[in-house]
Amino acid sequence: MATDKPADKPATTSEAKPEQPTQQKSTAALEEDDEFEDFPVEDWPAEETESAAQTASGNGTTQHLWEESWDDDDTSDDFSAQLRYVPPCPSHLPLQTSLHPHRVYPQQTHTNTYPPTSEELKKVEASKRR
Amino acid sequence: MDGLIRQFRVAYATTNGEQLAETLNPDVHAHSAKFRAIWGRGDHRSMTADLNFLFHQDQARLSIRLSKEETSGWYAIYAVYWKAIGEILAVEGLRNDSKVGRFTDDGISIAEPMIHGVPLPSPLRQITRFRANQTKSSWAKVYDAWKELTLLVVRGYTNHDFENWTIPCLYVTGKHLRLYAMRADAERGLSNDNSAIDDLQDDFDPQAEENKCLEDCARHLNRIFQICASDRAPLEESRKWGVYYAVNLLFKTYFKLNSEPLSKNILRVISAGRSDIPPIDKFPKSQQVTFKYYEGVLAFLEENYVEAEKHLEMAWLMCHKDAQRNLELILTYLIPCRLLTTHTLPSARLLEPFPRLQKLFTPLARAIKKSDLRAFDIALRDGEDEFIKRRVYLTLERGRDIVLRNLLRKVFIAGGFEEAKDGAAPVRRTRIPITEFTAAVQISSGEAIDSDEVECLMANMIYKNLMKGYIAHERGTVVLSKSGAFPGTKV
Amino acid sequence: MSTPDQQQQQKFDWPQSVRNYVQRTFQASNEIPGVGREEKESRLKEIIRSEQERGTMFSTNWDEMPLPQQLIQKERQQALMAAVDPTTTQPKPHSSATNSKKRKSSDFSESKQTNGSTVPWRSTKALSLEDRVSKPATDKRSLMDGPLTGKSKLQKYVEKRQRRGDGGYQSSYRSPSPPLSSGPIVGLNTTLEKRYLRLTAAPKPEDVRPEGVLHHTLDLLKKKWRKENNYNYICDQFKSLRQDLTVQHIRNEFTVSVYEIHARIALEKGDLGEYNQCQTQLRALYRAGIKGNPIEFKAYRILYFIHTANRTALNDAIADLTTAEKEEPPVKHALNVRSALALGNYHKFFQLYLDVPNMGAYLMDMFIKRERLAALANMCKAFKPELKLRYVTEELAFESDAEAAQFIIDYDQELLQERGDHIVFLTGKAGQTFENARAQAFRRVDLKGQI
Repeated sequence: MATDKPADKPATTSEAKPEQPTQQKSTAALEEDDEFEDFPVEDWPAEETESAAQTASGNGTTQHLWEESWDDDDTSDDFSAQLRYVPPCPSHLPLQTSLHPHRVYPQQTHTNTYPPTSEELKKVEASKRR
Repeated sequence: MDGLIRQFRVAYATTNGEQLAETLNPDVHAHSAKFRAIWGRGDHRSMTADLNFLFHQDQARLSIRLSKEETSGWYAIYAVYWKAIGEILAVEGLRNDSKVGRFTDDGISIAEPMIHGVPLPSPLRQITRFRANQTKSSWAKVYDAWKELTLLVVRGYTNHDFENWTIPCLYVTGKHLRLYAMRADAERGLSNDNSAIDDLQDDFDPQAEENKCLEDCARHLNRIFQICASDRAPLEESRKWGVYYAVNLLFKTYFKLNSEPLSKNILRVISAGRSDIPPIDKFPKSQQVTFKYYEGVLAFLEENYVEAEKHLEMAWLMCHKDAQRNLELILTYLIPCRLLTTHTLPSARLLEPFPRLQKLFTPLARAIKKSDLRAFDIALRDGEDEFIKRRVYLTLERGRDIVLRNLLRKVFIAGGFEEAKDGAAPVRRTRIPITEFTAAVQISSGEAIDSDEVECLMANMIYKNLMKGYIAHERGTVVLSKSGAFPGTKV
Repeated sequence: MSTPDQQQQQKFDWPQSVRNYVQRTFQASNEIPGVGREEKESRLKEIIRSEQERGTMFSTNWDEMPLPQQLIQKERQQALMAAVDPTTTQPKPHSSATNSKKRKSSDFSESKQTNGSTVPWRSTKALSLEDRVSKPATDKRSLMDGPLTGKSKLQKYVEKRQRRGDGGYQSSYRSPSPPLSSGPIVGLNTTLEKRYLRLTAAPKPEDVRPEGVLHHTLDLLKKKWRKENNYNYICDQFKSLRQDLTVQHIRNEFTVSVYEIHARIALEKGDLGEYNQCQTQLRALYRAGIKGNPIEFKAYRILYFIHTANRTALNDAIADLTTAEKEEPPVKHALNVRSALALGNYHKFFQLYLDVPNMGAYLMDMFIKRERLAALANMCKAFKPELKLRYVTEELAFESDAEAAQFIIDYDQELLQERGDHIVFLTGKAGQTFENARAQAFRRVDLKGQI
């Protein structure tokens, strides 16, 4: 950088001031070069468009440029066999015995008994109808 | 000056707007000798003497018909243009009249390559040093001088009877105003100049600090837009023919300022005035393609993918076949659009000329086709930075639904057929245990997943109409539709 | 703010009092040695321009307004005084945060001052708390004028210009004004508590507190917040604190901690307008490389833009992250919340809701209802003919079956049915109920928007 060059002019001393803090650059800093470019010419005949170029190479259509998102070719017999066998899943944990014990609202008091009785539900409904 | 005004006269005599605009093109790198000659020794008095002679005495001036108003308008424009050229030559280190210029410590003039459209590529170091040395030339000064020029050109139309064939001049001035604004902002950013701070605000305005000049520039471009769009002269004389010049410059500016709502405002204005603005297809293709591109990207960012696809496709078809970079930009948005609207993927053929797009989209497309969740997740993660930068990440991410759809479809196909009754055509098995789907997802993603989450994912497929049927939770089965369980995929 | 019309008119029509003021500025008898003409002129321009821009040309008392040369002289003296002020440092006490999952802003305000030991701050004259009676703010302005207006400043500016049409632009043809020669002001005020007032003229040093005083102010405000929990008062005080920092161009770790603390308090109180202002400042401050708690606040930022459904801002918030930051638990959590929602994975989303780092739960609470509606709309279309209520309770992270039941009943009373020992939710009969409710809930967000 400029500072490690010998300063042969007094004016360069002002360069000694600390540079901007070097931060870790974010991985996806938005770039400058993504701008739509000016065309070198204002206008051009239809023959010079991408459409003309592509249809010429694709027997009159642009269909060949896009394809379906699925592929039936790789369906193997193995696959259906594999489906019959469910690998042991480590997340098949025992059912939680209480609901979300780790979520604590500081201001809230829990008065709900769990599970609610059907009477309770009726009360809720009744209060709603009122 | 002589040469410049001679060029001006030829353009005027033939009413050639592009040629006229060329006299205001400040491309000092392509023609540095020419611009040095214009600047001369930077003597203001001799410049005015030249202009006085050329505009008021020279007999050759009579070869073109210029009204008094026009004459005074152009006179002022070239005087300010001269000044701006001086600033540009200085900041580019191309000025040969000693004193002002960009010099290194040992007095050698440096000329940096300047690529239009790319603000400040490498010479960051020189600029910092430049500022530190309090040397006079700067992009800020270039911007100010060019702004003065822009205002005068605009005045030409409001006060000096400039005719509409001269409109390309508005474009050339506006275009460079924007470039200089970006450079001035970058330059200030490096010098830690705080002059943009408004003391009457309660908080800093980071946007205003970073983009002070560009925001100012946006206002001037908007002014250009206004004087074009609001012209009520009959169409053949109207400045309305300049509308798309201005709009495209505004789009570029607002995108840089990260202000899509402002672009939407512009769209609203021109669609409201559609009746008297000539239809877009009457404009040169360069303007049409640029406009359609930005219109498409705007719709894209609003998640209006059907609309976006329409505009982008138009831009793509009409784009010049050799404009590789622009074609690539259009496809960057068109491909994610298509993935969501029609669930189609780009073919190898389409991507072939674009190595960058190949790198971005091929792994994703392959994972989708193979219904490989794991490969899809990896491809998305590998391309994440680039996708985020291009603002397509949030769209492409939804391609995972298509992978999943394909996977569930495979389960369905693997399920085979029910035994046909009474010789009727065989029917596919439509009641499928959730465990089979769970197994499929685990195989494909390589991760454990519980059946509640699998049901949730399948509920989504049904909700989004990617799969037809219902989940019978208590029985642990999915009941798929007998006809078209996976719409649009032939099963 | 004046209407554009007024403003436009003022550009051409200066009141006599302004003309007199200009005249006084250049009167030989008012000259101050050492203040040059150029300096005076540029300051004068600045003063008039700022009054003009605020539309206060007619309301300002120009006869009382100090002359430019007087202002310049005063500032020079202040700068001199500031330079000789003693500088001390004082480490802050450090208490550990509580373990509550949903942390409160007061948990942070104590612990985050650790950086303070490196921040030098100026102490001024003796400050006694007793001198000053705190007057809790009664007006709600701070709560009401949040920025959730959906338009950027630039946008509003441009719109204003557009409305003004051609005329407004004529006057903008002016040669560029010379750069300001004077630096930021330095405050002289030593009052710890100060009501917030919107600035209508260049601030006077006697109304502005220097940084040293502001450190004491922050300590006092933190204490008061814990003791009194009076949000209107606190918010008002923080706004005036922020204003004092801004007008003096103070941007350091202290500034960061002021915004961080105000942001947390605003979050706790659900004042999203104020929170968002702080967040915008914090983003710029972190980007300038000033230390603070970027991980915590970058995670909030993501959750906030999920709430406001601002895709572009969300994209930019992700673009701001470094690879390392993406792996930090709070950020990772927020990113997971985002992707779960993007893919309609309500199962994962509600699990993430149950375990939110820092104060993120306050933000998630803002959109939990709408996401429950979305999930129910989803379930009603996919699950037939019914689901156990318990399944809904667990999948959508309700506190209890009763809460889940209440939520459903609020939309339709006929959708729950007792079935022996349990209750079922009749998904097959819900029709468009939750779909409509969902659409409405999201529409509301769209309208509200954000900066």
